[in-house]
Amino acid sequence: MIEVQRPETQLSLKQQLAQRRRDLNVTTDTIASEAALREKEILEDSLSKSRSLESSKLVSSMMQRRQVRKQNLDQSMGKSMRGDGEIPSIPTINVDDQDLDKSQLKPLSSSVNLSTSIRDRLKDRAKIQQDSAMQKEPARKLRGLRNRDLQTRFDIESEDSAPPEEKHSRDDEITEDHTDSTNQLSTSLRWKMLAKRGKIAEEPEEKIDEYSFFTKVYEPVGGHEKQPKKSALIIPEVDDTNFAQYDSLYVVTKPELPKHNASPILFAPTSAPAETVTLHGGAPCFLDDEGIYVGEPPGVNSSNWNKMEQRLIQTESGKKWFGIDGNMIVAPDPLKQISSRPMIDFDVDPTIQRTAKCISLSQTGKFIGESSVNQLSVSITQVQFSHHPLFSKEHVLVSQLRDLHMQYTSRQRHNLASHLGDRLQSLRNAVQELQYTLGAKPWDMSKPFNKDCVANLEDYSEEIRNVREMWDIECMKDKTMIRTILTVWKEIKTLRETQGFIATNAKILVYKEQTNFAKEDKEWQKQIKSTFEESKEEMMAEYDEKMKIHYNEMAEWKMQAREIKKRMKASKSKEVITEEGEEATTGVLPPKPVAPAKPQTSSLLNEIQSNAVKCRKVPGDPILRIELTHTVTITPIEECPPVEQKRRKDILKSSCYGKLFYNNSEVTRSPNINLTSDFTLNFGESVCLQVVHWPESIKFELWSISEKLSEIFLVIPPNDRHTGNAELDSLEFSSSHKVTYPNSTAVGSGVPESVDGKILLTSGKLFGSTAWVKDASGKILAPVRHDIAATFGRADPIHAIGARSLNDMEKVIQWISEAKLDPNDPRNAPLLHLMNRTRKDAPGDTKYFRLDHLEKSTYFVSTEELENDRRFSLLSLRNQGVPEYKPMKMVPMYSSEVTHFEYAQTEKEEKVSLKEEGDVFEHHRAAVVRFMQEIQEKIASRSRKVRPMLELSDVVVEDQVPDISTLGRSIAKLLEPRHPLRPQRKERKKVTNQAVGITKVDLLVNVSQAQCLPIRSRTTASEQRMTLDPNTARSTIQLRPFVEVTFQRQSSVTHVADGPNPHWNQELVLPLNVINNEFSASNLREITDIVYFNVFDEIIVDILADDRLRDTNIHQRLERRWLGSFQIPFSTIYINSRIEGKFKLNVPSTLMGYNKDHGLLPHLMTSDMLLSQTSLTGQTDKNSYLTIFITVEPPLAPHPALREVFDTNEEPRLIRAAAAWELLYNGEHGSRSVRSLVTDVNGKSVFITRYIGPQNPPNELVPEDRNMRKSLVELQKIAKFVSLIPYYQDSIAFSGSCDIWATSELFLKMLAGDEEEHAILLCNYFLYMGIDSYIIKGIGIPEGETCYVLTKQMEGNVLWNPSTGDYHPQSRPYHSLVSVHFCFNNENIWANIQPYDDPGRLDFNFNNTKNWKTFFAGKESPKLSTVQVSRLDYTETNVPAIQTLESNLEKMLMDKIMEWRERHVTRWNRHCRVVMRQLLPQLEMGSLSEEDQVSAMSEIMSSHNVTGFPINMRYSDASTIIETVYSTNVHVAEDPTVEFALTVYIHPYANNVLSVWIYVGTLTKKY
Amino acid sequence: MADNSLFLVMINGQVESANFPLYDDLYCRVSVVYGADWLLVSGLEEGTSQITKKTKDEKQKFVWNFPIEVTLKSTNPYGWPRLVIAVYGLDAFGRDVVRGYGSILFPLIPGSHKIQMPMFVPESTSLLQKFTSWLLGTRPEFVDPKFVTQSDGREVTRVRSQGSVSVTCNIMTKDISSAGYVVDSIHSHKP
Repeated sequence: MIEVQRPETQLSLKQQLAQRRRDLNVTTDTIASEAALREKEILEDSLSKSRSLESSKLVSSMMQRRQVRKQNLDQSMGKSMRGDGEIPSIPTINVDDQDLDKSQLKPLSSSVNLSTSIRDRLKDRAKIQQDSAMQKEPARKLRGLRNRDLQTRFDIESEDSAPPEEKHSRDDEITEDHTDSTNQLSTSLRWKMLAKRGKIAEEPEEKIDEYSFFTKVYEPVGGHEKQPKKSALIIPEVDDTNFAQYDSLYVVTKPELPKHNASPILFAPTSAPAETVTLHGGAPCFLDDEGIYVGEPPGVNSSNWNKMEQRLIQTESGKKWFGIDGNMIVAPDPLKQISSRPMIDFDVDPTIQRTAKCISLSQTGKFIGESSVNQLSVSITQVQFSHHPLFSKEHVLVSQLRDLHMQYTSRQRHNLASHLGDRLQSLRNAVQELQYTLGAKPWDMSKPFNKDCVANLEDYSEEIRNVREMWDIECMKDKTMIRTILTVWKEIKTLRETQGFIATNAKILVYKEQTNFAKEDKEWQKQIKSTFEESKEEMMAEYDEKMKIHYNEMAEWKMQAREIKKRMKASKSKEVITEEGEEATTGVLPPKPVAPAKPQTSSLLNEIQSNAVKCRKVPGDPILRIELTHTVTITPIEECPPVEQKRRKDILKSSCYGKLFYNNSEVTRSPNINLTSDFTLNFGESVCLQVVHWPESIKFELWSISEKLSEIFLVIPPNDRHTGNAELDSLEFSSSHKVTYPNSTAVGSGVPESVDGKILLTSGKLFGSTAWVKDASGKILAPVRHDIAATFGRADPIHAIGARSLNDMEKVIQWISEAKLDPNDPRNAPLLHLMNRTRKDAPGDTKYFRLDHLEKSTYFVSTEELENDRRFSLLSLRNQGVPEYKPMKMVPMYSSEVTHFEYAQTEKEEKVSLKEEGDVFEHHRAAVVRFMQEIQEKIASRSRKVRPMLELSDVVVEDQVPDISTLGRSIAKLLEPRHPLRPQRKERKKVTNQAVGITKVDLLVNVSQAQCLPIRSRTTASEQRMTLDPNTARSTIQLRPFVEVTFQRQSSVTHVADGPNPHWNQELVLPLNVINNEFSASNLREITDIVYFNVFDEIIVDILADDRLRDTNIHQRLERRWLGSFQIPFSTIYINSRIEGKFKLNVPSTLMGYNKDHGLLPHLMTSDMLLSQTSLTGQTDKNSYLTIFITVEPPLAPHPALREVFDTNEEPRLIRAAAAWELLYNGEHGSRSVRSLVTDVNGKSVFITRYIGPQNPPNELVPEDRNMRKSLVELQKIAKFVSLIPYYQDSIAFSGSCDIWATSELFLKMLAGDEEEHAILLCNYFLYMGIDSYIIKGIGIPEGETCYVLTKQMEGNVLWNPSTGDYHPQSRPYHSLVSVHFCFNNENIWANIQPYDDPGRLDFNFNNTKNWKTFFAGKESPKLSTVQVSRLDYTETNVPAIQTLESNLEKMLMDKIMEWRERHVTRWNRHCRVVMRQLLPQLEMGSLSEEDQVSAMSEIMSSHNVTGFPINMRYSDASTIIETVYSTNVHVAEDPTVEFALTVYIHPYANNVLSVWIYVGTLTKKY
Repeated sequence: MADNSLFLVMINGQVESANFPLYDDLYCRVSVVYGADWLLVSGLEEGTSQITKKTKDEKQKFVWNFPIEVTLKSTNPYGWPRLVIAVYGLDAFGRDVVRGYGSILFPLIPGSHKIQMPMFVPESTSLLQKFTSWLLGTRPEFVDPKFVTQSDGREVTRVRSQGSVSVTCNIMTKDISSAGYVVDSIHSHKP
């Protein structure tokens, strides 16, 4: 069957046909022509058919068969194919073979004697398929054949369809018929055909492949060498049709697709190497041959590699995966060959474990990190003195001579003179040659060639001059050398004669070599001549040069001259008067340049000749050769003069020894070696060192008996130098020690020598060697590090020089230069970059080494750009958790979209605060705010660093396993006595973290009861008329109070109760609004809102005008009168999670229309009240109380407390003691906790007692009289001053993260602080007043954790609330201080270990150790220096500023009231205001009783019903005051006739502490 | 803000089924968690599925087919939405216990994705607690199911894997490429 497709050559069908014909032509010689014809017909037929649609199926089936056959072939070829056979080329051959076979070549090929098992098998298979093929035959018959006589065709088939045995036998017969020569003939024929085909194919590779296919010796499959060839030839002979059913059995190897064929589905790449593909189809070139870096490809199995290549070749686009070298493009292996980290051997013998630790440091440290043996061999053979103190003068000269001779011999050896002479000659020759090539016109510059030549010529002549000079110098040196040697020798000889003995054996022999004068003279003359020529030329050139300059100068001079002449003429004609002097200024002719003299050549020759005579050997002179021998016999000692005898004896006596040091530690020392008469010390010592440390120095010290002569550092051997290849080093040394030998011929050393006046120092040479020992197995016992460096360390500096050395720039550079890094390897780029940079820079300029210098190149924008980017800075600020930016959402995508508003929020805030009310106080406030922000920022950044670690309980909800104690407690609870009438609140479960999905949080306020509210005064009995029902108006209705709770401008009220001691027991619910509705801890703690509690009296005013309607109508108005209030910041509730207790109500000192003297009937008073009425001082307690319970629902997790670990300046001992003390106490006493260290403004821990120390109050508050100082009244004034300093909750300021304790000085400066600061200041004032005072730290109501001041006075213990200025005797039953945890003063801290902690029951005798645990036990309390300044300075309060503030405030409040009453007309009663204004200063002084007030107001009260009250508060800012006034609900007065009165008074204290008084009231006309 | 550029991501999918051997009667809580620069445009961030029993065939699957459909707009791919699934179920005594937590990042590449989400539950800290928690039906739970989307505090927990949930989701993005972000695998390969 004929192959239509030939994928390899991709020839068109016609070409194929043509070729086929050609093939056939070749074969016709041996085959029957009819067969060829038939073949041709079939071919043509198939071609014509294949064009038609019908035949497409046929073609594809043919294709498949072909592939199958190919597969078969592959298999049969077996492994022999692998390696180089090109698969697609095989079918081509098959085609040919088949053609030949069909053309009855078959007998030829089969004639070969081969037991073709493969062939047989194939044939068998073919026979099996025969029947079906026969049946199919008609169907697949070509159209062209249908009309023909099919005889011939059947013929073939019949041949094929013969039974196998028969066929086989026939084959055998044929084999007998044909000889081997025919077989060879057929092969040669095929060869020819192949050659032709190769030409047509235009593919050299294919040819080669085919060639190799035939020529390569394959592994014999059946043992026969030619078998594969044969099988390849034979298989195709089986008819294709017979394979029809085998199609499915074989996976088709896909050849290149024919255009009209359906694409095959499967492709199975073989592991044979794919054909070489290059990107541009050209021949592959190899990059690494061209010096381009090609990395090491990663190790991949070659079969996988081949498969991949085949896959890629398969697709058109796959070609791009091949590089120009014909291989797949692969990235170099990214793995390092060795690990950067030095290996640590963990299997260390436990007995030497300590050493092993050292070893682990080995790579960088001193130790050699190997357990292997490292041996260093040091051998010292000889020391030869070039000068020794025992040298005689002769010796000195001889050693001089020896030196000279050595120089001489080395000069002889190098023979520079003759070398230079040769060079000169060759240069001259070259010049001659050049001149010859330049020919007649050497200076014709038109030709570029000539130009070059001339340039060369110039170069040459320059060089000739140089060489000539050098030659002269060298020759001169040679000459002088010989001369000096001879003079020294002469000196020696004379010395020997004069001294009368011979001390040395040195002798100079001079050999003379006679020379040919004629020859030398000729040479000499020639030299002289050429030198002369050259010099002349040079001189001429120089002259030319000079002349050129001269011409230029002349031209210039002429120009000048002409100009001057012109000018002179002009001046003369114009101004005859011009004087001579002026002429000079116009210009004198400069001197005419002198032409250079022509060089004189006459003297030149003489000069040259004399120079030559001086330097060189004159022709005819003999050549001298000098030899130094030691043949002179030394005069025996007996014949010498005594001085010489002494010297020689000294020599015999003198001896030396050596010490060997390894890394500056002595290793060994040699025995004493006697000095020989020729001043050598023969040590012959060889030491073998077992080395543990890296060699740093190997030193040899030479000692004479008592003193060190010299130290010589031996060479540290490189580790490839071993004892086998070590050479003897000679190391020179010298010593500066001074030795003299009087009365001997010895010259000594280090002293001026008599002969030349030179100072001769002992010096000499050491001969020795150092090498590593090579052991029996040939291993060099050198430390391993260098091995690593040499083999792998190439790419790894850490291995080579150790990590520690990386900082050492020089070492790194050295390593880089030694390591011979591949400059093309990208991995080495940083190192090479470094090297280049350091080379460029001056050494020592850069003292740092950057490993990440490439980091910069990874930046995609510059740092500045990044910093200036608004969006980026917004994002990073948010990420840092800066409060303003933290809640920011949807940060715009582009910087351009970031509005200025968002970006400059902080700046804006500051501006706003400055803009407000230009008065002093606002400025101050703004400054405080800024200061606070600063501290806050500091603390925040600190706390951000100390990000609290989450604990498991924060993350996972898990039931605690009940232990014995909890079980016991729960059992005990069951047995507890029950008080059903006194229900207690159940403890809520502790909330650990925010539960999910809190969408709503409410503030629950349980208003339980109030006590001792002021009652309506009897003076307002006139109101009784207005009350609801005159009949039921009993005197008992003194009050109808209710409570209003306001939070975040939302309020809720209780029902109205009766009497001054009402019970409400009502739960009010107020919603909590949070920013973004996000109930996160960080969000919650930022709520600064305050919960206001106001108690009002509800008054029902009957406004029914017509009494007749009273029976049927009710027309009333409810009025509320403010009785008192108190406030709790939400942060307190949040931190404490619930607040419960009896709160003191802030009731104004006078409440118009109300009376604090209850005049209660005894039966109405509870026992509690009775108690409260009495006090230590016998005063009645007029305070009103409100009992409430507040919490939030659902419970909110408190913000986790920051573990405050701050820097400190305290002694470590104290810190430790404090920690231990706190730990000991805090565990024992449950809720009570002690602290001994607090954080100051700088964020440092300070011991708590340091804050206490007497400090002076403002002068106005200190009474002159010392006795007065301790009175409660005076103290109360001070307390009031302290309480007037604005309050500023730290936990709000610092986000609840920590509590800052400021010093009093700072506190007064900032005028802001919380309980601690107030308490400390108050305590310090009291101490100044000479009162024993302490600070109590405990829990208070409502502020939670708080500080009180305790004073021990004559009257008893008094507790001071520093933030309100109130004081209570300790014995009083109700305290706003609920529990006492610990007390401290400037000396000690006392922790409460009593069973109770409420102050009423406590014993404040701190000496009682049963009740108080002291920090500094005993009397040994060290006086810790205080952080407070001893003297506080107070600024004078600015009075005019206060007056403006006063009027501003008043105006503002009046405006506000009018604003709040927008539906009504607000009238102001000026008269009342004036009266009030007068009262306020007196109130401030505390000298105004209620009666006085009433009397002052009596005039107004006679005509009006007056309600009103003064409010006293500290001044922090205007808004607080407004808020307070608003909360009194004064403005809610519905009476149309109502008039208002309001006045503001500010009492200034020192340091801008202000007491603000607001008197506000309403007046209604009496009927 | 209206004229500010932003991109939209629409996530449309469902929590199809779960595979929790040994358990029955499971339901899941699904929530979508995203960063600060993301804003929910439409859809529900959270949802609770029905209680399902496992199939009676050998697959023993829990099928919820609980839809997730959210559209988010954003200015910053930081905080790309994550899906958090917490599976709860009734134990032998009918008490509600947690069966698994899991979280995935929604795929960045637009298109349809099928994701197998392995689940885990926190382990009891001790054997005794394990016993009591079994006894009382109070298995350890994360305080916040969204804990599994964050990396803080993971080091303190010990978890055990159990079961998996298969989720399909279709991601659509709008304007994301005009913002300069390439999330498309096809585009990212183009030179």
